[in-house]
Amino acid sequence: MNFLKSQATIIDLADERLLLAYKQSGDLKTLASFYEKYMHLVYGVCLKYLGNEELSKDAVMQIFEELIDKARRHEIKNFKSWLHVLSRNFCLMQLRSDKKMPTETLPDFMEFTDDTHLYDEQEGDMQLLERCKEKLPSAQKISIQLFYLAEKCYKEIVAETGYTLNEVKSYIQNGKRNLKICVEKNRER
Amino acid sequence: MWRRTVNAKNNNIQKIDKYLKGKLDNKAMHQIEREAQDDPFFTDALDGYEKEGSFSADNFSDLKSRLRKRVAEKQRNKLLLWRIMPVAACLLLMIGAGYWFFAHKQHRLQYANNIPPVTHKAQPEPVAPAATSKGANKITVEKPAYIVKNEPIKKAAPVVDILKKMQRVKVDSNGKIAAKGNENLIARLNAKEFTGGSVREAMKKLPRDIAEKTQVVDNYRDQVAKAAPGTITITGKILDAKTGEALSGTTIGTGGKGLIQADVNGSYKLTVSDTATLSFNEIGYSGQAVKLKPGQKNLDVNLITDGKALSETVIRGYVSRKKEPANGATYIITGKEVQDNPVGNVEQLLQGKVAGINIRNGSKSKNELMSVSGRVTDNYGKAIFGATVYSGSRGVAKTDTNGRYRAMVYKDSLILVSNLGYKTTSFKINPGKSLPDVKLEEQPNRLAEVSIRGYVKRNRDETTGSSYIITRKDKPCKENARFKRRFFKKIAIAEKYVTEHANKDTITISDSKFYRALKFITEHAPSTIKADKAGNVGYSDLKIFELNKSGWLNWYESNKCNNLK
Repeated sequence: MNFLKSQATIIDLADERLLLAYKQSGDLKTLASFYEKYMHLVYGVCLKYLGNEELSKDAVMQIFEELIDKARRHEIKNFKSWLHVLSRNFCLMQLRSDKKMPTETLPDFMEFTDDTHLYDEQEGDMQLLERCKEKLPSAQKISIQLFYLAEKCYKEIVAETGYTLNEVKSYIQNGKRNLKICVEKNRER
Repeated sequence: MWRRTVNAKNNNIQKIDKYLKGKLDNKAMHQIEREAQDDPFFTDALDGYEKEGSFSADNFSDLKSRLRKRVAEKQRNKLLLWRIMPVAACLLLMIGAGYWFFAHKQHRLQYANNIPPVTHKAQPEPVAPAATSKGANKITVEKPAYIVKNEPIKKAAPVVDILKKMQRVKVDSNGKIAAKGNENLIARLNAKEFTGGSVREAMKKLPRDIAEKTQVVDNYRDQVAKAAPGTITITGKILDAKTGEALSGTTIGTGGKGLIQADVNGSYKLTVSDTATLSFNEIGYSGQAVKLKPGQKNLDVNLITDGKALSETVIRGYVSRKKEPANGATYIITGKEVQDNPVGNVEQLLQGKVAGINIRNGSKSKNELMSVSGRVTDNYGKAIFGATVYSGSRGVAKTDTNGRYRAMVYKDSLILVSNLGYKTTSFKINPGKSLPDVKLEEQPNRLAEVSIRGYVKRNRDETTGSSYIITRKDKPCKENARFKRRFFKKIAIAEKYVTEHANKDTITISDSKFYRALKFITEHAPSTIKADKAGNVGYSDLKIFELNKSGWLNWYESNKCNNLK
């Protein structure tokens, strides 16, 4: 069941404390200390959208400038996912500000996993999960099985199944989503 | 805390780098992938690194040092501020008294009227703990009415340099300060006033931070020294983001107006308002707009090629050329093709005649521009922040925190409102209605940002995410008339039943005709009302039906060209 939980939604208490400290003191060092924690992610997101190292580095710094102001004004519940959205929006705005829309910005896989409290471990859930798994399309079932239960990496799964890397990724992603929908639906009844 | 998290991250980064280079064993690879599956932020970032092929630690340490430098900038200012507090306290200065002003009262009043109030624009100054500094007064920074802003003065410049920049303030070689020709002035810092001569010596050493907050006032406590106008001379270089080559001839401007062009070395220098947003445009490159930061004097820009508009098309009225030197694409329009077009100029004449040329007809469109404003909410009336409003394929506005937007759009254009996680809604402006409020229907499975294209032809294989192709009315669209009739009829049937039952508390309609209508609708369009197997349809109120109905209509609008059956 665990894997239906999203890491991103687990609120890092240290973040919360630091954020509060920053709000009170306005000390940039505090802000920088936890921005640095996520900087490699922000940089990666920028790379994804802007596709250029130098531009991305600039963007990382510009996002920090935005953060200085926004972190004070906004009520932030979950800093990490908030920062994710902020970074992505910044990059998209950057792209949009060039009048022509770039044609390559469609993200392949992006999932915003939501509430986790639904997934408290319960005995019955494991069976439910098994049942739901059986209902998945076979490609998704196999990929999920290999990734989560056999703990194989993408490369191994590719080698074993003959799917392409992108296929494997999307099978896992979609399979996970289908499982979640299925579990949720069945629990309500 | 700082060091610990950073170290942990460094390990992580090395791991990611190894992962990208394929140097990890299967177990470790799985671990990274597992992490990415659970964390959309990391997934996104990983996509980015993969695109680049690697994630070098150099890049990251470069970023780190830039961040530290940025933080240190502020930090140093703060330290300085505290170190000089004792000095500052004694020197919050200036030179008192002024009988003189009685004589010039008239002049002074006039002067005061001329000065627009300048507000303090600096970053919010952190309030540092004051407890430990010995005997220093706790200073809260008040908003000075007039300050010297963003003047090109060196960081540690003595205050005289700043004072010299203040209008009507003169500093002579002995350090004597005079404002409006009179030496008797009062200086005010943090609402305290300082008079007397001893300040003069100290002033020479006063760093900029303090000096900026110093006001020079006269005996009426009115401002005498005027802040320099908020302009700044900015220099920089424009480079090609990929090759690093200098881009000469790039147009630099503000507010949609081109001001100058970069020289052959790609360098530029121009004086603009210190709050300006500079735009950089070059043919063949995506334009960029950068807002100046306070105090910024240098702005280097990397432009990315957009691969589309590689050359500008120049329209010539009538030019005779030899065939050989023509090295662009030439299209000859014969008189026959255009003779029947009663148009006013060459551009209009070419409209729609030459493939690949877009003619924007400025003057005509301007007449058709109109201002629209409204509010974007979700189905429950909650404001949506950051939704984008498009006019055609062009983003024209974003909603504010209250969901409000205001935009200039063309009267006949299709307006689209889009936000992540919601269904994109489109509408035409109704001239009688000036406030198009928009309700967006939630669409949780719309996971990916969708770019909206006016009309795009793509190979199917290329499409990796979901994309909406919105076809304009004038493009060929085969609507299935039979389906349309049926679909709308079913909605009408459902609506009839619902309204009939609407006055009861809980509505449960168990009627086969209603059930069939709803079944047909839900087979096609997304719906929260569902019929169960027994033919019962339960839902709580009329409002929900209304929401569903508008969702169905929207669905039809966006899918009508998809050969519905």
